[in-house]
Amino acid sequence: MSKKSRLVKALGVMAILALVVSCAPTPTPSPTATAPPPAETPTPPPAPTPTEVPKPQGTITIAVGQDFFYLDPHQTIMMSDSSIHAQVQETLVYFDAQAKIQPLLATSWENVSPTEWVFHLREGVQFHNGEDFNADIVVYNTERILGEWGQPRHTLVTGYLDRAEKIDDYTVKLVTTEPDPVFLAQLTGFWFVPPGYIEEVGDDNYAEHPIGTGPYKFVEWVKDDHVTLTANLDYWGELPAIETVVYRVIPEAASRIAALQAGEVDIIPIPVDSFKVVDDSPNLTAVAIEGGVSPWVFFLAESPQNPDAVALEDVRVRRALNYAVDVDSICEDIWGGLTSRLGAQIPALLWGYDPSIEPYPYDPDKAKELLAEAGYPELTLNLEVPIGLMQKPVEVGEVIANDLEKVGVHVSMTSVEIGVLLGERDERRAAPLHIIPWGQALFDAWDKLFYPLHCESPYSMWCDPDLDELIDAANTTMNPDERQVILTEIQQFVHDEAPFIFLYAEPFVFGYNDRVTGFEPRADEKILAYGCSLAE
Amino acid sequence: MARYLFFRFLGAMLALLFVASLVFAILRLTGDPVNMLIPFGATPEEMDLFRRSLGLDKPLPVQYLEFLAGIPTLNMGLSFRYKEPAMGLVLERIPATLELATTALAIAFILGIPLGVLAAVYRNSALDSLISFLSFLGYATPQFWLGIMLILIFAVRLGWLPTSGSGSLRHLILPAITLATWPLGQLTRLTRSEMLEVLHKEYVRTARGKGLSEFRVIFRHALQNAAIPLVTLVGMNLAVFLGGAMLVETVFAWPGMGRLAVQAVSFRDFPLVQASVMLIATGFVIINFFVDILYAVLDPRIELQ
Repeated sequence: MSKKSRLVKALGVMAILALVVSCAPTPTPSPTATAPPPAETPTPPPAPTPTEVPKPQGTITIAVGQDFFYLDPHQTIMMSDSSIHAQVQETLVYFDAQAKIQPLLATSWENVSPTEWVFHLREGVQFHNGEDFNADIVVYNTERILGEWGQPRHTLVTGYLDRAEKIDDYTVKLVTTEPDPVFLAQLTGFWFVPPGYIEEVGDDNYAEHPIGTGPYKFVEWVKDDHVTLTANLDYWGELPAIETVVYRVIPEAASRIAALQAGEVDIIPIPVDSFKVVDDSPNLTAVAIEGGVSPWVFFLAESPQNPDAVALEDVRVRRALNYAVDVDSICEDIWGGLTSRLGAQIPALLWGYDPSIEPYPYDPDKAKELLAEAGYPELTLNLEVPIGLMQKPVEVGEVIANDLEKVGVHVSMTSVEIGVLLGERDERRAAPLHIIPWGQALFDAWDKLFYPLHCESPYSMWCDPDLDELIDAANTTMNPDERQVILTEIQQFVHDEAPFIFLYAEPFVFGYNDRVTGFEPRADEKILAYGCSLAE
Repeated sequence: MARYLFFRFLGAMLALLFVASLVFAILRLTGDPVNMLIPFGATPEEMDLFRRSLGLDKPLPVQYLEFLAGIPTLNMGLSFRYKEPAMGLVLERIPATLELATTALAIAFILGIPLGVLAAVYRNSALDSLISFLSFLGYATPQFWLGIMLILIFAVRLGWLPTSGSGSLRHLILPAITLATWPLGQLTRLTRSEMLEVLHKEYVRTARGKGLSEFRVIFRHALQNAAIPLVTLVGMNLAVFLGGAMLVETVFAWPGMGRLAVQAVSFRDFPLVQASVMLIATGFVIINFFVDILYAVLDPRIELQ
């Protein structure tokens, strides 16, 4: 009997403990008493000798939502892999956090003809295994990425690159198949690998232990768990301040935030909703950047789902729908003011964006006027919003549906899994209003031109020969000033013709521990430790 | 006995064939995976090239037969995303899932049976009510919520345990507890009801009459006879957890099979989904098979009619 009664008592205690712990009011975090500043050392520390460079020290942990796929930069088709590539390997040029092209392994360049670019290479650069970087390396890498091994990446990223010609040890000419105004942007995804190493280990095994010229060296990759990098002490440029970087995989956002709060990780991407929670936490800061992913409400006039869809052929109807939706309130309420309404289809971060193109103002009366004028005081249109790839599709969709109802457009909204929606779109049987988040990779208006709008694009629900002409011109004009003029014209055209309801660009939000300084949020899915240092 | 086993085996094979066909058909009904695997901007020609490299351009019956033919040799093709043998990827992660699942079931077993016995022996007392209430709680609490609550309390606020990940015993505690609550609730209730049934049987009174201690009566005689449904339950749960631990695996960033399978589905990674499903189904069938054998051993009265 006593055994049982002891057991009973133990269970009782456990049960009560559990209830107490879970029901206790969560204590509001008291303002952390800051540690008293270290006592002043009586003797000043010796002045560092001029040649002394601070050694990298410390570790930071970055938690990401999914594991990496291809550590061979010529094979990857995932943007998320680039966090690793950007620190282990290097390119001729790169995008800084403000999306501006900067020299890296190329110190300068000239666009000598529409299809030819001459690059002057940096001297004194070596791979982690000691091999030298020079024009031969560029030629080798070009051949590798154009060959079968590099097929997936070449097709998707460096598509116009045709060949490389060595001019001398540190000068190389790259030739494109056609004039490519965004060639430099494409080169930011063309990372270099060392030929000697590849000969040794073989193409297949390069990814087991990738080597580059970058500020960090690869240490290990435990699949589904973490990747570890360590500072490259022989780096040609400024040494990283942080010695060890660990990228941990934590798929669930709430778990990532918990890890950040517990001090287990230092930098994480967070959902927009968590901005306040993270920012208000002691020792944590949240930061956002307006990105390049722009969801648009596509119009499909041939949609078989509603007979009223043909109304979308009338520009007045399309403009009316733009007047009808209060996108500013979406930006304020759903996105916490972290983004803003777009005037045309190009987000502010991308090269070519023209701020003088004003967004449609919220004007439901004007919307009703236009609809009546066009002969459609009442309309019934379906709205499909995608699940997956877009943030907060249902919330945004509901606001749109409600706003449209107020001007006489009856909307029934359904959520559709993104893969399914894309399939419907391909077969032209999606709803007359469907939202697709349109991404970008080049920080240039480029991604928002041909594929969404050109007659010849299979993804475009739109066809206008005049616009095609402008797009073709924008895609082949090499002079940036001339190109900007064309892009401005395109944006005005697109604004006026309204092939979509213009919304906003999705914000990317990050949370980080205040012990990290120098963290710059990026809109290209890279979270880089290089450039950060530890506050002490 | 042999006939029993043979027919059970045949049934298992048919079930597997059915599952294989079902997963094959459903996957291909979800549409074109290439859309999800290649970023925007690929031309239709490039997508066709990609499709061909994945073997998706072959006629459906051919794909189906190749799929079936590969199963016995565990050749499920190369994962679309990882470019490695799909079955290999899944098998790599089994130990992690098993570690989690067996620990959770051990917790459920070690706590659940004594609790159930207590509840039965002290039927209708306050203790019984408390235990029944707690077991309902464990049964009904959503794993997702429980997992995150445990993380917030024990990892963030108290700092006793890591928030997620794997690699040490400390990492195992919270996910195992989270995963254990559901079978714990089930097992407690089932033990209780089984024991209640058995405690009134003739042989229990006989045992008491023989002067055996209450302890021996309960644990040797009564529980042994109540054991059969309990064994089934534990076995079923183990099989279910092979894929069903995915919520816990995701919340705790535990590198198991369930998480892999879920990711494979959202990326339409056909070979990986097929490999995961076939493995889970096979695991299920095998475990069931062994449970059936155990049945026959524990109770000689059981045989297939």
